[in-house]
Amino acid sequence: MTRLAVENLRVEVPGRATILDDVTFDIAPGEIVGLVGESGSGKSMTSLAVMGILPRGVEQTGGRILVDGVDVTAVPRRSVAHRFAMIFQNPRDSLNPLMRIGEQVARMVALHQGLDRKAARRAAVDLLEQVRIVSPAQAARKYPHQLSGGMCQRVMIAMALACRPRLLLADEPTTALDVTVQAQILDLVVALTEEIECGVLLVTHDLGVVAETCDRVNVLNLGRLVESGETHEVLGNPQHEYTRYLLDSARELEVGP
Amino acid sequence: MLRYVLRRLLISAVTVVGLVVVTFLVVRVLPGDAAAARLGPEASQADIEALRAQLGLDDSLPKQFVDYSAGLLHGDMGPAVSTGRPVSDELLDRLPATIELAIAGLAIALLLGFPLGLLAAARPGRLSDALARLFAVLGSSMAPIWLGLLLIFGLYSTWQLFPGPVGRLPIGTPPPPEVTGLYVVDSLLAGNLTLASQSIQFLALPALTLGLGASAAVLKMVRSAVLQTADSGFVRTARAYGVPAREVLLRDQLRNAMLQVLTAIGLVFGFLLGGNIIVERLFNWPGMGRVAYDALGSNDLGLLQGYALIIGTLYILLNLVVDLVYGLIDPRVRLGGSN
Repeated sequence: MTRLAVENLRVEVPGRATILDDVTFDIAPGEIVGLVGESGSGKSMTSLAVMGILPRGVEQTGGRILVDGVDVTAVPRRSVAHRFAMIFQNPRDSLNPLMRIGEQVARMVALHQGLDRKAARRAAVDLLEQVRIVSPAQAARKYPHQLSGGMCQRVMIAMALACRPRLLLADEPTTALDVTVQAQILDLVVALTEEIECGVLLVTHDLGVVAETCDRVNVLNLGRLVESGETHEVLGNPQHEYTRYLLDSARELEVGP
Repeated sequence: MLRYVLRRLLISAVTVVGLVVVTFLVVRVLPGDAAAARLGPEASQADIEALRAQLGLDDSLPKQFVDYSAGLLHGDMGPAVSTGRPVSDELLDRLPATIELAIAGLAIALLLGFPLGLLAAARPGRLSDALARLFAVLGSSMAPIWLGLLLIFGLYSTWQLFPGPVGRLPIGTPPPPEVTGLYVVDSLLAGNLTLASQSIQFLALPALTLGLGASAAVLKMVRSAVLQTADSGFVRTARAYGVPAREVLLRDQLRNAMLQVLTAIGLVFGFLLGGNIIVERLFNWPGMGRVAYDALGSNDLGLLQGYALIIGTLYILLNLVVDLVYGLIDPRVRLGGSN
């Protein structure tokens, strides 16, 4: 069974603009699927639509979103929230600055696994260890501003694991981090994906990240999917003009003009 | 945290010194002769000269300042020209009445403004939001003197629900034995419930007059600060992970918004302490504002200087408290920078 199936998704600002048009793709268990495109191509809107947290004024006007075969747009959000987890571009801003990180993870544990406060705290420390944070018990007592960006992203991933998600949405999860930390976070995502067999939708503009981590990739341009397939095929032998354009700009950046 | 507290204490102390200098200079620079004012228009030039010498008004400015500061250290602000009593007695006797009124006003402002602000921010653009904002517009556009008259007219004259504007207690009623100077607290401490309830009734209308206007300010601040957090990443995270909306509002949004709201509450309380001269006059409330009002009428600059100094000092203390609470709430302030 597929973890995520997006069928003919259409998202609009009603009466004014079409943001996504007829977007279709799927993700299998343990699979990491990339969603690439320029700024404004609709990548982030796709993940927000899947998550059910589209900004005010933006609406899904067509298509279905199935998680483990359940159409999540047809049932109350609260009843399916536990199937998702999401990590974002700015990990530190994604954490509450006034709450200890152990508390923030514990709260998700309590919410999604129904544990009491004390058990949730212990589980939170275990999760911090699982995302390779050294001396997790100490780290649990820290506030976000005392941790580096990479550490904060690990905490976000720990929170994601607390939800025992079927699907992890990662929206530019490494863009704000420096290159070595980037690689560590991506390795962690890959390892955990295999471990808990969730599906991952990796939204990024960085084709290097896609090449390293994604099994398959979808290329989005102006709200439409222009190409999708195995990562090595799409990147090695692009069929669509826009994909070639993306690849060329990426190479130009690497080599310099 | 200790370093933060010490720093705040030091800054407050420096500010108080600055306040002393400024109030001193402003009064000396203003036109008007304190000696002439005290003796009245009939006084002879010789009498005025003699009093000037006695009050030290002929000394050089630095010497006057040193004498004045030395007096301040003993709590001596010099005599009030208009009454002959010491300035410190005139003002400090009245300080508890002003503080009691300001606290009551603040309590009303918080009790009304806080929940309404939260309600408005919970569902922006909905009916509850519109009503709360209507209340805020009415509250902030109603001048205290007008609102006070309305309340006296409605709740006292017409319906007799509250006592008239004759001060803190019915005329002729002796006040409770003084502990704090706040009649409500002192009556309760003395175990006199009748007196406590009377004090509250007399306090109600002036406190409402002050509090309604201030609640509008609190409401607007709570609403906008909470709404600002609505777009932040951690609120998005909490929502995305299915944390119930109520918990997000109270535990994530409100707590972070408190940092801003706290500053606003400090400002509002400062305004209630220093800005209630009209309300005290209107309700015959025997507070410091009344003294300042009368001092203005009799050109008693020394008394006004004392008033400015005390209100200013209270204001600085208030800001100190706000800063310290800020440190308690925000770990970034308490624990300093990274790692």
